[in-house]
Amino acid sequence: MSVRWWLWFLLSMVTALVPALVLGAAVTVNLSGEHLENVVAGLFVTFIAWIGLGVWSLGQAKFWRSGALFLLVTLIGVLIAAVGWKV
Amino acid sequence: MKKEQLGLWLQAHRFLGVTLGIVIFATCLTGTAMVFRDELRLWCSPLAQRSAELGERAPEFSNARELEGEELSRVVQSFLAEHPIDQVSRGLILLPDNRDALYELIYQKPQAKSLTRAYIDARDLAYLGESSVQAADFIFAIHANLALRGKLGRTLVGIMGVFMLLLIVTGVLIHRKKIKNLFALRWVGTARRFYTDAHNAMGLWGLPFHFMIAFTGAILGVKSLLVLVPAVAEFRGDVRKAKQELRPPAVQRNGEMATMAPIAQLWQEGMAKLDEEIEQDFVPTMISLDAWGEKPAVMSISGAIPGALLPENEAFSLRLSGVDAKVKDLENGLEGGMFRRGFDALAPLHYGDFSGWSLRILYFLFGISTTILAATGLSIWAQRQSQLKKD
Repeated sequence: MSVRWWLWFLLSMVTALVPALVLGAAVTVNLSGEHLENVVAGLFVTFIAWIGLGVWSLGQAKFWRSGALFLLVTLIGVLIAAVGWKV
Repeated sequence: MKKEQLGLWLQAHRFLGVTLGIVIFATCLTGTAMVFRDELRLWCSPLAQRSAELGERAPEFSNARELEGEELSRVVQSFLAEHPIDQVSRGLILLPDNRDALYELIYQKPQAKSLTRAYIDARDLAYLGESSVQAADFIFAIHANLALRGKLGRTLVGIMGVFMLLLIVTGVLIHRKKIKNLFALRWVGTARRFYTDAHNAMGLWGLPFHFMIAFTGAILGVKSLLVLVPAVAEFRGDVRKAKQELRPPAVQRNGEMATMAPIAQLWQEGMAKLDEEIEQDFVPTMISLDAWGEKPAVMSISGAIPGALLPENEAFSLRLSGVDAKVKDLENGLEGGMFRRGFDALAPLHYGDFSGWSLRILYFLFGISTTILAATGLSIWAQRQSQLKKD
């Protein structure tokens, strides 16, 4: 296993965490009701998004492709979170 | 699917398996043993020794709901006579049940690194003394924390669960459209072929179980890492408030001494309230005494709701003031929303303690299959390495 592959693998998992956390936060601020219920919903979304993006990125031959998707998802997540925050 | 993509998934599967295989194997093996943790606890407890000396089997106990307040009062007095639970922040008393006819006190002495456990025989309320670290606790510590102290071990096990989940997903992606793997186990031929067949068959037959155990284990482990961002979002950036909501602060001692209400009265008031509020059958499994002997003192009665996917000792929790026996609040797990119920279901699903013996035996067998999956995966890699060296 080359050093490049190791770096690519770890970076994939770590970068997958960023959009996942933003998505989790976005889902949470858009929900209403009990605080704890919202936080738990956000936790589930975060976790599933993290694993999903992580697995997807593991199958990408070119890192720039997964990187572009991460940026896109992060942007959408930030927008949803910003709208939710204001509403 | 592109060949290149398949190759990368295979590479990821191999890489994760080789680096984490041994730890996953140890965690699965100890997890399988933990299916019988109650039996192990009983086996290591002084009750088992006493029963052996008396030539009697460990007694059976039906339901703590039938307990008399006076009996519980005598139990608490016996524990108080031997242990300073009126000086520590919290003392937990596990009530006897149909597997374990013991009263068990658990608390942490000031400055002590490990928990103190003491026992009372439910048959005649004889005080049985303390016990140190038990085999069941040691096995559980390896499974849940890799025997490390603090949150580090728990988080590491959670991260390992994430990678185990990735191993399962990449394994499915590599082997999809190969239903014939379900039935292939070639004894004739190379050892590597045998291990590969066993690995594929175990993986496919037990796939829903492997996936469920990795998913629940991973969330239980990494929840402390992931939960803060959604929590902070909900509380508009107020981290302290978010933490308080997630984990309400324990009852704090304030040094103001007070006379405690009789335990029998607290128990009767609590059980009457629970009978009134919880429509389903419920079983009290634990009482906790917080800041006992002082003004903020609280006694909690918590337990299980049979048949519900809720944590064994936290399906409901009723808190009463230790001073005047007034009900402070009641938390009923059955009243939680969809996500809360999903979250509460994680621990019972992971530990398989939401039903009887047949489910535990099934969990044990599937646990063995997950352990074999890890072992055969490592064996395939070892065989491959020796083959590569020969070539």
